[in-house]
Formats: sequence, structure tokens, C-alpha cells
Amino acid sequence: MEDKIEPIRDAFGRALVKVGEKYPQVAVFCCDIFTATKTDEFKKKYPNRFFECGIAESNAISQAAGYALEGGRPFVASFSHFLTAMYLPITQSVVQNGAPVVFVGSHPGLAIGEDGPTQMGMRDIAVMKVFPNVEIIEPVDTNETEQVVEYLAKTRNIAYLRIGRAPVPQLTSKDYKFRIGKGNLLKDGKDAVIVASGYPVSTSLQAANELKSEKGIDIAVINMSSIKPYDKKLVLKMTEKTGNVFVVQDHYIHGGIADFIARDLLENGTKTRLKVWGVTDMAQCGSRKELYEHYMLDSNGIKLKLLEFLK
Amino acid sequence: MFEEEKKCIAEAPNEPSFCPQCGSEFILQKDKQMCNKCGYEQISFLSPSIEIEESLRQQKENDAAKMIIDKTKISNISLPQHAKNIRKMIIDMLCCAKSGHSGSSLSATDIVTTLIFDEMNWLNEKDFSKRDRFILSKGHACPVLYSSLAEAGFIPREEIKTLRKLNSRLQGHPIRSCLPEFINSTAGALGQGLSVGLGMARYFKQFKKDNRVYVVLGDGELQEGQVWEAIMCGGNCGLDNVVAIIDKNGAQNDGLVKDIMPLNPLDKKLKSFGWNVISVDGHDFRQIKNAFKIARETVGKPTVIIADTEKGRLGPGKVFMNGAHVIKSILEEDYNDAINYLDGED
Repeated sequence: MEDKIEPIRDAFGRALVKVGEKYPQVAVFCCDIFTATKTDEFKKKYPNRFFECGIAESNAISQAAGYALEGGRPFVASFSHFLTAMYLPITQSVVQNGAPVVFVGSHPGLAIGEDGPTQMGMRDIAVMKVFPNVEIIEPVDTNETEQVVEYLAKTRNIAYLRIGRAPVPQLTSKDYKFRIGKGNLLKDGKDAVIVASGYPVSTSLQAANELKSEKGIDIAVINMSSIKPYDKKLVLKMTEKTGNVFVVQDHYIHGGIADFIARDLLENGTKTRLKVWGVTDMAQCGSRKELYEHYMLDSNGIKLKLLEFLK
Repeated sequence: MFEEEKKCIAEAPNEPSFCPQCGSEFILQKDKQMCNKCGYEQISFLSPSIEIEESLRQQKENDAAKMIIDKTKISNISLPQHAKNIRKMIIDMLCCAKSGHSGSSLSATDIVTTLIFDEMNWLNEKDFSKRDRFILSKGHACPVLYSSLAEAGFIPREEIKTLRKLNSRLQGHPIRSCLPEFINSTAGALGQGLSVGLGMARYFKQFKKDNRVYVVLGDGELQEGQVWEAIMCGGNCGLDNVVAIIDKNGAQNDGLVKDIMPLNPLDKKLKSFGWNVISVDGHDFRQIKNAFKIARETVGKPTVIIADTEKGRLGPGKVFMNGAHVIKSILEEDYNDAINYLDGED
């Protein structure tokens, strides 16, 4: 583990430039937001593969679909909240056409802070997870982000990439290798297992470490960056081991990865206790710190919720 | 497929992947992703374009023998005669399906006929990657596309009877995966085709390919906001390999366009967005052909052809079932009247 703290979107921008060199079919369709999605470096380096579509996400998505159908690998980048709201073009132009587009949704969850709920990607996973042929990936740190971008550039599945805004510590080790459908057990434990993706992984890990030293409670933490398909085997294994599953999502409490997990646990007949924690109302503005504190998604909040659950 | 990309895909190592169900390692296979241990199969998680390339290749091999297009036979037939045959097939197929959009199919017939039998390089070009692209953005008019494909010999004539039937390639609105070589984009939800076409055009421009992109829209469809996003974008990007054709038949589901959401002056609107605008009589082959010729000669801006048409048109002064937008079933007398009219016109 390293102490380097960097927002994931910075690593995304860097990685995109790197894959742009290797893969000539990679292009960016932008919706007047390149400084926020960090695609500006790509624009500088490959101006003829950077398509500015203006504040018109539907048009950008359908154009990317046409580009992809001919053989390109377009990354359509915008705020996750705006991008995933264009549901009809996503459904018809991309999914029903089988057009291998990568959606890049930035600013998911509460992290955008002061800008408030009309800018927060709070239901993006919920709407993207229903399609049978769309992968959903939310990398946990910059190391993983670079690997995920490389993976997306060389494969041709439709994918939704959720990239966070908050600076995050490095949680994956140097020899870690991202694999689709594979979770990463960051900390083992016997009393409960936390499943999370994105920003809450680091706060969950902190909460687990604190509970271990303060109360001797031993909690495992899984980084489930591959949200769809997710690592069912790992979750089932850890559920059977601990008997307590706690899912944390920086997303509305409904519609996140917990839905898959709950369904699979039930279908599998696994005897377990399950608690899902996420944003329970429409969210509001505030500083990032205040928001995670208010919605009990910081390490303290997660700790309290866990203790409540394990009582 | 773009050569470089082929290379990249070929060079990409076979990544070991893990079964989401049982977790055992399995290798991504080209045709499917299946776990050897527990049998878990991932639904269509592989490259659609590789899939399509592969299916096209197989289709070409299979069809080569039995489906060779007799070009001499086709080239001996005039455009009006093709259009007449296509109109007959439209009525036949809707009669079999007992539902569908006759009015929009018949109004666009002369436009689509000119595109497939004259303007686009579909009949002369065997290589899909070099073919022009056709997007029927007003997807509900797909009977005209299917009939044209049958008329050209791209699909068997008997197949038109499967329109709207279970497991048919001729879905009620066109689905690309059913006939990827001819349905270049899925359509049905209105307003998206022009954007998809612009994306294709950008690809062709970027990789210096000569393919042209043709998108047919309805005039009612122009009420969709996304169409204007695409018009704004297309005009500003100067994509001169795109031709949009507006089948201006003046009617939509709830009534007349001029009552529901008047469009005029459409030509001025489009011109102000930076498009090369040509207005034609959408049933006059000479005018339609000439418009396409001008579009080819236009450099630096995309062309939009406003084709004035008549909903449900069979011939001069003759429309089918009052130009209805949707029909539920066809009465025998309407059917006979239409077919006799089209036959008698010979």
C-alpha cells in the first residue's frame, strides 16, 4: 500500500492518453466537460479523435454508437448523472445495436459535494445494470483505473465506467491485476464481510481496521470494482465464512450492487444476515466531508452502522 | 473492419478470465464465453463487431451459391417498375402481418428505391466494409426496406411473409443484429438515426474511407429534440459524406404535422444550421436522382433533401387506405384495389 492520494479521474485521463497511442480506434466523444472528465490531455494529443458534441448527451451517445459500429472504440465521457439519464439512446443506439461503446460517468455519488443533488450520479448503477450485455466497472484507486482503461481499450464489450472525484489512497498492491468478474479481498476477517466499490472501499477498510483494534471485531473487506459481472463466488465464500454481509454503496440505497448480491444469496439458499447501506434520501449539497458524515458513509458512520448490524 | 484494429484485437493476448459463478479460470473464446467447469455461459459479453464480422462471413459463404444477384435482370428494370414491385410487396407483407405502417412505407418507397437501386453502391459492392450505409431512422417504415431487399435479391421473396412474426429476421421495427449488412442501425424509437449516421460518417472521414451515409427521417420525427442536436452538430462539423432525406409526408400518428407541430419554413431552418438543402418532389425519380448528384458534388457541408411525399402513395392521385399511418388489418377490397391498380399501371 502507498500513501499517494489522487483522484481517480486524473489517472483516467492519463491512462486514456496512453491507450490512445496503442489503439488507434480509441476515440473520445465529449459533452462540454473535458476539464471535469480529464479528457483534455487526450484532446491535445489526438485532436482528430476527440469529438466535442457540446451539451447534447443524446447526440454524443448515438454518434459514439455509429462510430463504434464501424470499428471504433469510443469513450463517451460526461457526468454520470447526465450521461445515464439519456436512457433511450443508450438503450437503442448502443445496447440494442450492440455498439461497443464505453460510457464514462464521472462524479458519481456524494463526492461532488457543494454542487448538490442535480449533479450527483446517484442512480447510474441502477439504470445501467439491467442490460444483459453491459459491463459495469468502478475502479478503487489510480493503479486499478489504469488497468481498467487498458482492459476497456482492448476489449469490445459495452461498458459503463464509473470514475470517482474524491482523492483516494492506493489500496491495490503493485502486483494486483484487474480482471473482469473478479473481486479483490483487501482484508480477511471472520465476523462479517463488507462488499463495496469506489470511494466507500477505503472508508470501509478504515472502519474495519478500527473495529479490529478497538473492539477485536474481525471484518473482511472486498473491493468489488467489477460490479457487473460481480464476483459471486467470492461473496458466497465470504458469506459462508462470516454469516454477515454488509454492502456499502455511494449510490441510492436501492438499485446498487446489493440488489445482485441479495438476489444471489436468496437464490443460492445461503443462510446469512444482510444489511445494505447507501444514500437513503434525494441527497443535498454540502462539503464532501460533511456529506459523507451526514449520510454515515465515512469510516465513523460505517463503523456505527456495522456495530448496529452486528448487535 | 479497420486493419489496425484487427491487428490490435489479434495481438491482444487471451486474457485468463474467471467464471462469475464458480470462479474457476477459463479462457475467453472467440465464439462464446463459457465455463468448462460449471457450464455458466455469459450472455453476449463478446465483441458484437467480431460476432457480426464472423456471421457476415459465414452468411456470405452460405448465400453465395443460392443468392447471387442477377444484376442484368435488375438493371433491365426501371426505377418506377422496381418501386411498383416494392409497393406490391409492402401491401402483401402488411396483409400477412395484419398490422404495420403502410402510409409511411409507401410514402418513402420512391426514395428508398432510388437509394438502393441507383444511388448507393449496394448492388455493385460485395465487400461490406466498402458499402455505403443506410439508416432508416423512421424505423416504422421498415416494410419498404424489407421489400426493397427482396426486390434486389438480398433476401428471399418468400421471407417477406414473416414480417412481425416470431423468430423472423423482419422484426416490426428494424433490428440490426437480424440483418447487419442491410439494417445498419436499429431503429424504432425515433430521433436517433441521424446521430448514429454522423458517428459513422466521422469514422469514415477519420480513416479516409469513401463510404457515404444515408439517413431517412420522417417529418413528424423532427419533433424529437435529438434530431436538432444532430442537425446542429452535422452542420458545424461539415460532414459532407452524410445525406439526410426527410420524407415529408405531412402526417403523423395523431393527425397532420401542420396541426400538431408546424414545421415550415423547414428549408430555411435547415439552411440556417449549415446544411446544403435541396427540396424535391419525393415521387419524381429524376428530381431525387438529381438531388443525390448535387449532394455528391457538395463539399464541406452535409446535404439534407426535403422530399415532399404523399402518405400511403400508390401512384398519381391514388393512395392506399386513405394514407393511414397504422393499419390493423387490410380489407380484401382495399387489397384487390391496390394490387389491381399497381398491376394495371404497367
